[in-house]
Amino acid sequence: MDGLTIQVFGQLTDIIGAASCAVERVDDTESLKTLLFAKYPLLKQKKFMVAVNNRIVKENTPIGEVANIALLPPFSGG
Amino acid sequence: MEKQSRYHRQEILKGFGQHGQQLLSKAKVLVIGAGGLGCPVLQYLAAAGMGSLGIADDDVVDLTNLHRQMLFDESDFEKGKAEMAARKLKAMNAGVTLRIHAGRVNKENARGMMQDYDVVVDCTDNFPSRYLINDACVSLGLPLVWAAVSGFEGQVAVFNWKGSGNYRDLFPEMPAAGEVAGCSEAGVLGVLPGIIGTMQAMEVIKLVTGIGTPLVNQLLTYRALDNQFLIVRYQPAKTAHVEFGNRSYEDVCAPATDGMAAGSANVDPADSPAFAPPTQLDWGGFAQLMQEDGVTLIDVRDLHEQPEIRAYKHLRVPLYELDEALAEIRHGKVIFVCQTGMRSMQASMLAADKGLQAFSVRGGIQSFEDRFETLVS
Repeated sequence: MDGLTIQVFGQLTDIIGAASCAVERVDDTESLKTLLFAKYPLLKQKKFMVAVNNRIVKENTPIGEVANIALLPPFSGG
Repeated sequence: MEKQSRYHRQEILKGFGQHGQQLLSKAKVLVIGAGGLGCPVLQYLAAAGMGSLGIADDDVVDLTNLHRQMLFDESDFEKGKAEMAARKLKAMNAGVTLRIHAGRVNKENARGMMQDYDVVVDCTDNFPSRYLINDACVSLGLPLVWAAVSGFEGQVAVFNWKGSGNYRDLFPEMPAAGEVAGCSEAGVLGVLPGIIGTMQAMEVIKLVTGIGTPLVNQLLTYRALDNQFLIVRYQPAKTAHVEFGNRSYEDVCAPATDGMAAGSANVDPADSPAFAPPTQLDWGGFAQLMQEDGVTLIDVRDLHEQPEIRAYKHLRVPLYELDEALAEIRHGKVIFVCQTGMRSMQASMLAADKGLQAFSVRGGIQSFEDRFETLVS
């Protein structure tokens, strides 16, 4: 396992330029955020939740061997 | 007996039966927003034989509604949505009691409107309403079936059901105005709210009849383009209780003024120092600034978006590529424009962070289409 695939939803795809992105493997969600913010500075302005293995995590959380990660922003349209 | 045969196909369902139908016929459900989500919710709940349906919407039918709001047709233009919806639903199922709430839901009327109902369904299209409805439901102890859409994606959740989490456990604070685009900015394929709205209707039926497992402490995200359903679980936060009514639900958008509408105080942007907050321009301010030398206009929409700007020399840099492009612009004034003025506002914040004097065209190309398209001689 040499990298992580991050799925992004909603208008975060406008910032990433795709529905997912690949980044190098990091140990925890805080390191992941730092990495993503450096790569995509506009993400800093966005509210989103981080889900690790289908669980929303609010505090720094270790990212294990098999981790599916999603960034979920709030939607407002109706 | 005629009524029984009407619901025969669902009454013969194992686990639902005539008992489930009776529960539906006694239930009172308030649907707030009769738009892309609200139409399918209302249609399916009326057809299913809900006892009483409340329809809250203060808007009128518009041409751009018709690709996704199946309760309305071309003869309904400019007519009140709540009333038109009630008329169609009455014809669909006269056995359902319909109540129209034609005013906009606000802090003063929210709880009074909701308190007679068993379930509230949030089909609105903006964050202030969504937070207000959530907080009112929490304060009344009412379950809330929530959904929202963006582009080709939708989210569904059930909040406040038997002590479960609520919207603020997912997203504690309301995003700033302009931070997240709605349907008019991001667009929406007509089928999408149809899919998500019918899922909401299903969740309502589950809550009322007790069948199945509702989306409690879970958020479902559906992405139409690759048929992906993602369900994530969350922990209800032990957030401090805030008395209902003690929060603000105002959009934090700066009011428009004549000429240049400053994003912060009334600072003349020409005198602003570096790192000045971005300024929003109306048409007059934009046209005036474009006369100056050393001004760069950047269209931050995706490359496929229409219409093209023909009236002004400009660069086209999609928002996600902007960071790199800005490195090349070291000084001068930069005006950003997009479809409605939301992405350009983000772009201008990024540019302001980098010390550029940044401007965003308020309302975007959508508001000034003719003037951007027309070739100036």
